[in-house]
Amino acid sequence: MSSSLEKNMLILRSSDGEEFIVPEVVAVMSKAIKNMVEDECASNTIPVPNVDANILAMVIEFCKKHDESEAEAASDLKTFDSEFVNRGQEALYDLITAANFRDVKELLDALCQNVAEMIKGKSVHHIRIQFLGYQLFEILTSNFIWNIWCDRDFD
Amino acid sequence: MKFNSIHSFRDIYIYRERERGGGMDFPEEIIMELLARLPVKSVMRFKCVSKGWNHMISNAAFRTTYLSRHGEVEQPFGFFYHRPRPNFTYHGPSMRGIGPTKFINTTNAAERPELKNLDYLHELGYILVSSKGLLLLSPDPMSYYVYDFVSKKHVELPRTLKYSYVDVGFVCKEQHKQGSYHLSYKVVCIGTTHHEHMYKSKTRKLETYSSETGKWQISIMTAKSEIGLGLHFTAKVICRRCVSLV
Repeated sequence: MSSSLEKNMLILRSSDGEEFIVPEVVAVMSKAIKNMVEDECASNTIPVPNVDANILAMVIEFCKKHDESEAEAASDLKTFDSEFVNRGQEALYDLITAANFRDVKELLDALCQNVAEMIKGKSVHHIRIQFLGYQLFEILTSNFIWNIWCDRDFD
Repeated sequence: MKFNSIHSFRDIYIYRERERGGGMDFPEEIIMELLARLPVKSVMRFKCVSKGWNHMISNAAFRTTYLSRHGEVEQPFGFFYHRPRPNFTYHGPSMRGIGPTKFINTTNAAERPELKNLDYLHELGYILVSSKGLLLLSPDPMSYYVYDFVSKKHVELPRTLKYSYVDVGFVCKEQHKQGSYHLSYKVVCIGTTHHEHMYKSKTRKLETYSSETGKWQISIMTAKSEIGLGLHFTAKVICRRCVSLV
């Protein structure tokens, strides 16, 4: 299979088995992959565990855009970034985890900036709910434990 | 989810929150990244989120990353430093044991020439407290000066009652009135006339000076237990009409 590939192309395999053919310049934007390629410990197919196809596609889209428009105007890239990171919480969470795990600095920067904008004016209680699951903890400690103990037969 | 698969609250939380797509449990380095992008006010507020966050924010490593990102954070001009006299012994009045004060300039001396020489401050007395760039100085327990060391002007406050020992609090408030910047301050004195009263009194006379009225106002403070000055309580913090003895 590797012979049919063009030169300088890599295959990335997501956690659910889907494969993406990516030029090497794009793939090495991830420092983790770059290290693997440089050390020549990878064949043409690089497994990307912990990242599913959906998220991997997004990350690749981001990297491609950044690679293409390196010489272009920076403001263009900025608008792309702000549109790119404008997603739901779950996608943001997965993207940040993926970017952190694969060490894609530009993506992590853009994402963190977005989340920082989101939480800038929020109250402490809100942050607790969002980051620590505080609300659920409160509910559980007040009702849940109580119910277990009250439902028991005391004879 | 079956009941017996629950191991901790965290398990339930992660399960539920991931199910409905809310809530994020990030590793510490990402939280750091996020916090480094927030304004100072938010960061300080988020100290209250949890012990872990407080620890992270108070950490020296975080401070350096934060400062390198927000380089324009204002640095203090410098600080006052006083050495106790060589024959230093603590006896009563807090202002008697203090030796000469030195000002240590942290900024470039050429930038702020007005801060170069502050030795003449000793003519007014010892520095007791500072607040928002104003200093409270006193040569003896009855006379006080408020000194603005940027404009190099001082105000003499009217004399207080006759005290042999006194504890002082000083608080300064900024006020913006129609575009002009104005500082108002308050001084609180708790003093005793006789040395033996220092440790056994439930009521204390309190004098408050306000820059707005320009007068000392006397009030009586009663406490449930005895208020010992000097030895038991030293620092005073005045805020929102409260005096706290620490």
